[in-house]
Amino acid sequence: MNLLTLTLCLPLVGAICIGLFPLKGREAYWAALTASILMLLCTLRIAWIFQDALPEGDSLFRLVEFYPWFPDLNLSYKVGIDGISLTLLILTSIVTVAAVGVSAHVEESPRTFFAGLLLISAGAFGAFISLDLMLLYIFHELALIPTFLLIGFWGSSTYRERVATKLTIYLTAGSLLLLIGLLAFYFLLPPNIRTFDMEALRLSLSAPNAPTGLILRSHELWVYPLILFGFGILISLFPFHTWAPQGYANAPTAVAMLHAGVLKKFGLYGIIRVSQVFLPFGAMSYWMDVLAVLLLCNIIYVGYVAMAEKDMNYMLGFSSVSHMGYIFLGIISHTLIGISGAIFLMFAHGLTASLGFAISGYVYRKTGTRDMTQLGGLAKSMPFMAVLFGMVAFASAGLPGFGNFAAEILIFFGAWDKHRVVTIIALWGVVISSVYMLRAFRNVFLGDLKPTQDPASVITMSYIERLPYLLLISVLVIIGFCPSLLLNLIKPGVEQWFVLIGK
Amino acid sequence: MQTLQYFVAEAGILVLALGLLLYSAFVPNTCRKTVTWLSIGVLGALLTWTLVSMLPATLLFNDLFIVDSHAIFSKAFLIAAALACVVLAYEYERFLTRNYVEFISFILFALLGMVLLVSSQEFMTLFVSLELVTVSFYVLVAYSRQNSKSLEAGIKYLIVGALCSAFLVYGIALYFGATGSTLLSAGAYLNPAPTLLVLSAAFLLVGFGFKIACVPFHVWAPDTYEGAPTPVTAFLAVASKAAGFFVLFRVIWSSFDSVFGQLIPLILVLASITMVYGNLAAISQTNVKRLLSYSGIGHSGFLMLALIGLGTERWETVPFPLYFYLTSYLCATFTAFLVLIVISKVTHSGNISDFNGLAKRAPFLSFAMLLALMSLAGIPPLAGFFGKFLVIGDIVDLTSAGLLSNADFNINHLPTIGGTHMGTALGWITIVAAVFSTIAGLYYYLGIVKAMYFGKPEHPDKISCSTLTTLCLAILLAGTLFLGLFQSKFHHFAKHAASPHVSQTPR
Amino acid sequence: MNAAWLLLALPLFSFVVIALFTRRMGTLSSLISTLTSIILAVVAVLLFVDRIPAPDAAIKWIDFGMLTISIKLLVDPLSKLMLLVVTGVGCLIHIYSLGYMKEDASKGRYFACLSLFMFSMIGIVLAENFLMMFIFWELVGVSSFLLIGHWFERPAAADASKKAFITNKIGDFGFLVGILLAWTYFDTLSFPGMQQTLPNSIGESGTFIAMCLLLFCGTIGKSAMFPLHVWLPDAMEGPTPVSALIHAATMVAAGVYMLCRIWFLLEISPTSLSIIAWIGGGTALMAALIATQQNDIKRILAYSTLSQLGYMVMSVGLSAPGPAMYHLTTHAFFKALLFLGAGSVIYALHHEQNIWKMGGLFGKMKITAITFLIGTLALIGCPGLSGFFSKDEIILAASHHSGHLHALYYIALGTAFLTAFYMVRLFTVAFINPAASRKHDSHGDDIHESPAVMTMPLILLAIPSILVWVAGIPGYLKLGHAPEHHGNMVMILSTLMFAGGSLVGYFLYIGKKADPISIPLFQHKFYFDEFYGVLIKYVQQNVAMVFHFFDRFVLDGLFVTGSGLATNFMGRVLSWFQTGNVQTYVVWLALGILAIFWFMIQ
Repeated sequence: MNLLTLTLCLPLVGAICIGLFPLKGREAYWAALTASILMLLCTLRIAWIFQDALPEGDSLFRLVEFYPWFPDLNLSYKVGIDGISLTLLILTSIVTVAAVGVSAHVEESPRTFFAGLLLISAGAFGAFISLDLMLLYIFHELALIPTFLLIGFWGSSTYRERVATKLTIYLTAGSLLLLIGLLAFYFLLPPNIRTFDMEALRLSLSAPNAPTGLILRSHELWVYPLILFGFGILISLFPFHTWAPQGYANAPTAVAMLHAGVLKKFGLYGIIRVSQVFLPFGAMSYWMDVLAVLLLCNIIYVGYVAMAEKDMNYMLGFSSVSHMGYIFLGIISHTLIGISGAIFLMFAHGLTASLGFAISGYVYRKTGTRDMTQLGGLAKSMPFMAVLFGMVAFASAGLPGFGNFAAEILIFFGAWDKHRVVTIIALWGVVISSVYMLRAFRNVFLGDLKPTQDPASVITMSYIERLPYLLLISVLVIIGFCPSLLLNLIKPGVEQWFVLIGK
Repeated sequence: MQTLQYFVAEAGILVLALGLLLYSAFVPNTCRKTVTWLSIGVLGALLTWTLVSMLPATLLFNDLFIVDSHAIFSKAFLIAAALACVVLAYEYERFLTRNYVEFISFILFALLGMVLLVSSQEFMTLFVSLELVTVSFYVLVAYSRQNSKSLEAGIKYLIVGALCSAFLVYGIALYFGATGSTLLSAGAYLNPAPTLLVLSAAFLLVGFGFKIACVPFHVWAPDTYEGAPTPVTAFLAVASKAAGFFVLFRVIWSSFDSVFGQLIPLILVLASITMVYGNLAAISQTNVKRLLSYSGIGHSGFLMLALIGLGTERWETVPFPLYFYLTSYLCATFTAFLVLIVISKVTHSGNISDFNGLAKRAPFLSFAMLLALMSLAGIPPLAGFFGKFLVIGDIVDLTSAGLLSNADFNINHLPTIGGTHMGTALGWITIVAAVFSTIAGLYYYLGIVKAMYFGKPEHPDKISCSTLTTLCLAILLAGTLFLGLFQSKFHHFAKHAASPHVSQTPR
Repeated sequence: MNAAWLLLALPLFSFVVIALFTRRMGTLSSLISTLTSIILAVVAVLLFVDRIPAPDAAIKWIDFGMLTISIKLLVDPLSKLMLLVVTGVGCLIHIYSLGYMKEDASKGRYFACLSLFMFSMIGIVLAENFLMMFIFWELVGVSSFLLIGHWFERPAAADASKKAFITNKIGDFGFLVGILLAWTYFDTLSFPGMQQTLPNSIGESGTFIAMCLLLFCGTIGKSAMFPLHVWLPDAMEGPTPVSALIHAATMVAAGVYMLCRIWFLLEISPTSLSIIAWIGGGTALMAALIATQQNDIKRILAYSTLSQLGYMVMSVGLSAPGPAMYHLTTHAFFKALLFLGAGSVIYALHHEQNIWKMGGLFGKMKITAITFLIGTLALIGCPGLSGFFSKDEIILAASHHSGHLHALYYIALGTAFLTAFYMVRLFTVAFINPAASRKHDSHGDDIHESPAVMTMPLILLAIPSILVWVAGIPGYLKLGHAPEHHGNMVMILSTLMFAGGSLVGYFLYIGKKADPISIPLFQHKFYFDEFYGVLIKYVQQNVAMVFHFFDRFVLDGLFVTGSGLATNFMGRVLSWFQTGNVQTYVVWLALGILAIFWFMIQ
């Protein structure tokens, strides 16, 4: 049992313990916090030993661990990481710590709440380390039911139950689509290389006298969309995005943070790992153009929707939906720069989105409303939050100094050669997002206090309370100033995983 | 003596049943606890014997009976189901106005019929044992006489059942006409199959369709399930359905191998309809028993796919998907019904609203219910997911590999429309139906979860349950999780429950 | 490590220190920041006189081989000169702010932002490649946003900062596309690299023109050219020193600087040059016209800034980048002077900005008035002062062109006349006219000169506004072809314009209590704000609303929820089959069996 499995076990064990032992009051919170911090530490340890833990033989992955699971279907428990997964592991742990950290206020049956949170993050963590397609699938389903319970019970609005059901059903539909796609892919593989082991598949793709694709091109054309949209629903790819803003708006803060910050990234990760590499022909076929159009809808259309939104959480939800478009753009660029940029943006956006939801949740808790027309001038009463939200706004508007800028620059430069028009239109999306983010910043935090709130009260926060927010923002700024920290992980990963075309 | 060892299970059950009957006849006030523990003990012993006694597969009584891996697994399964059913009955007994012991013994008689059924290799034996099952169920369903619903349920079950048995007999007759023998293995060697055989297959399908409650022979199910005493409902929903599938599997693979090609499209269509119907109709239900019965119909659809899946020679001759799906279904369903019984002790209606706020009143019960429902809905990593995974996987395999349109299934009698062979088209339709009904299923299962976790409880007071129930629930949950996580162990067990399958060996 | 790196390191350091630690301690922060700015000025001077060797180290920020973004300092005459302007004006304004912002509650934030601004502005100046320039280009936008919105609780300020930022973003959109085009064109982003790989045979192709114009979009945003000029006047909501530093002297000039930086590209494409020239000239004239009818002292100065920027851009467009930089330099000093003077007036009058409420200040605030006068004269091109020469060079450059570009010659002259007119109007009304009767006459008499810390910078700025030493700039820069000096005709004409404008302005407004002339079109700034307001309100918002509706009710309501409801309904329909009546059941059964037989026998 190596470090990866150990780290995976931490949140699981944490969840089980919280479920079993009769913890009182804040104890559940502290237990969950401890588990998540341990998880973060282990992840950092993994990052630390990553460079030295060289892959064995011609393996593409490090810290690989393999147990046969269901030999008759070639199912196995196989975990391992490369630069790409490590990046996302770090993201997962950081956001988990932050999400648990900001939920100190949860009073009502906290044990279930925190156990659920840990389960969600365990699911994401497991998904990012698993090298077996079905394992990946199962881990990503692990988050489904906890999300349902958490949104339905602790959600922040009256019709949270309906939203929870809708979200769960919608996501399940997506994952069933995905399941069919994966199964079809598996069974269409030539028997000699028929396996769920992604590494083996990748190797057989690059083996000498290897076929151009793993399965027949005529088959790729219909398997690709199954997998693409299967993941796409989870990523809230237009037009399958409508669950996302509602879900996030009505979810408890922590869940919104984890879902928008981490789980969404899982879908993108899946696309990067599976459909773009194992179905190269499908990825380069007319489906690429379809995807280009859809991602523009994500960026522009959803951007305008966000502009018209009055509710702060909904606005943030739409904005995080619309930012998925850039990541897709990077992915379909099929260039080293573009894809690295996409993964970098997955990381940066994970931090930005979760921070945004954390702030909005805090504001909601303090003021009792998220209607941006009712709020104003909060910079006086909660300066810390004002600064944070300003930074989030600038980050989403792609300002230098935050990770998002470097990522978006990479994406645009990567995509430029193949998709000029798309890139130009996507660039306009930056303007749109700066419009709605700044509008929100101005309406909520600047200007004069609305009569609805009393101007005198300056809400003080203890430094302990601030830590989760500071964690997120500081990481965002650090990678903004020296992106190479992450890019040195991401680049080799992308280089060895993708069969790259062009510059 | 040599042959008797193959009959330990049957004999044991028979003795126990008769013994209990006499005991209740002569002792006026019977001690229910002892009876329960006695039957649990005996059944447990028999179950263990069936599993551990690694008997070589043989044919007995000049080929009337067969004991092979399939038979042994089926027996083990059915005895386990009966075990769980006894626990349910024990929880339920306060509703049983009449003799509890008699009730148990009738369950045992039904069990006896089933275990005979699954190892009968000849149609007369098969029919007789089937009738033994059905008749005992007539009694069981209508057991609480005062309750008019229960009586009505009994009547409906009787009428429809009689009708379908008639078709069964008719089918057997045609089979005899076609083959000149009533041995199951007789049909296997008629190639090409005469129309008579095809017809008899259709008739037999009707007969068994009643047992497995597949559309359109499900008509009895909802009312009967709702009216019958809950333990009986559970037993019907799991054991009798499972027995139906076991025997259907044997019949198809020993007698109708040659007409399998013709049967595939029919089974596909029936399965799709059954899945969709069961899961859609369940959505609008408010009574939990009724809801579960509809969902049971839906699951029969999936199980029928498991029959087709055998076309992929992945599982050699062991119908692993069928076994797996049934076992996961057993764990989940019995959990659900057990919880239902415990709840309805407190709240005397069986409606979803009874579950409101259960999470506060009985955390363990609601957690068990949650897992059971999610397993039924097919959420990983629970057993139900893998059941669906295996079944759908096989269909996807058949369809995407184009097997459904090629010759070794000799179903090229189907037309080709617009370049796509009907077989493939049917395969895709079935997949879509499966996906759709899975989603619909999740929707109504979530309805109950919602009630349990988000609803407001009527009474603040806690709901407790007996040690036996807790134990049973724990075991069932463990099963649900174990099956979900360690399928290979189960597969290994199912493969080696006994030496290989002999149903196709020549006489 | 080269000392030049201090130019970037110091202000960043001061920003970080103030933001993280000394935020609450206003005075300390202000001292840190001011000290930094002084050191910066010194370093810049040393660099200018070549006491510091030009650095050549590069920090690789992102390295992808074909796309390498490095932080590298490019020190050449152009950047040295610009650096001098930025740091010089910068440090004076830091000092001035010590006085002006003394009572301000959040002094720390103010000075932190000033340092951030210095950091980003110097970054633009020293940028060696397009992306480095773009990075700091954006950062400048941020600091400008923060400084305009310094008094964020004022709705006007908050809106102005938002407007400025978004308008700049629109410009940067084009800028980035231009950069991308340039990247594909040259496969490199560094200016020297481009200059080397620049093929001599290169003619102006369609894409090339597109590239030049898209890059020019950056200027349109930053230097507030038509049609994106609307943000600059509103930006006056910020503290006056900020207006002086960012929105008069340095940041808005960055656009012009950038044009000169990429001159080697522009000179290849006459088409884009003439477009640039026209936009510049148009902006110059339009802004001047608007300025004649404004009453807020800072707005008048803002519009004059616009029109001077128009001059500079026009001059670049007329392929005279040298004069452009020349005018940029002189303008930086005297416009900063004017703004600081205005600031000192506003400070004395307790934030009164309407010139008609001023008057009679000449006697009360001697230093301010005199330095302001010097600034005015320099701006309106009084012979002998710096502004005269620099503007003259531009008009001269315009006079050399024939064809449609020759029209710009007259536009330039006309603008010169208008400049003289509105500046004299301002000076007459605010300083010479008898004190207007103010509502609260309490401080009518207690108006007195601002403290030395504020007047000293005025004096220091007045000196370069008078001096003409900078006349050598175009030659020093060696950009484009140095203009020939036989422009006597031009010189006479522009002198006439100066004289005429001033006289008209003086005699029209001397002793007036209210504006004798009123031209609504000019008062309402050609209705640009109204127009854009309509555009945003009715076009953008409606598009947003429509999409929002579609998303909410069609995509989500109709398709998602709708399908759910449909399934539900089907469920009900199906459960109707279960009548509970055995006869019906038997009928279903029979039908089913028949169907099966039909299926099997067919």
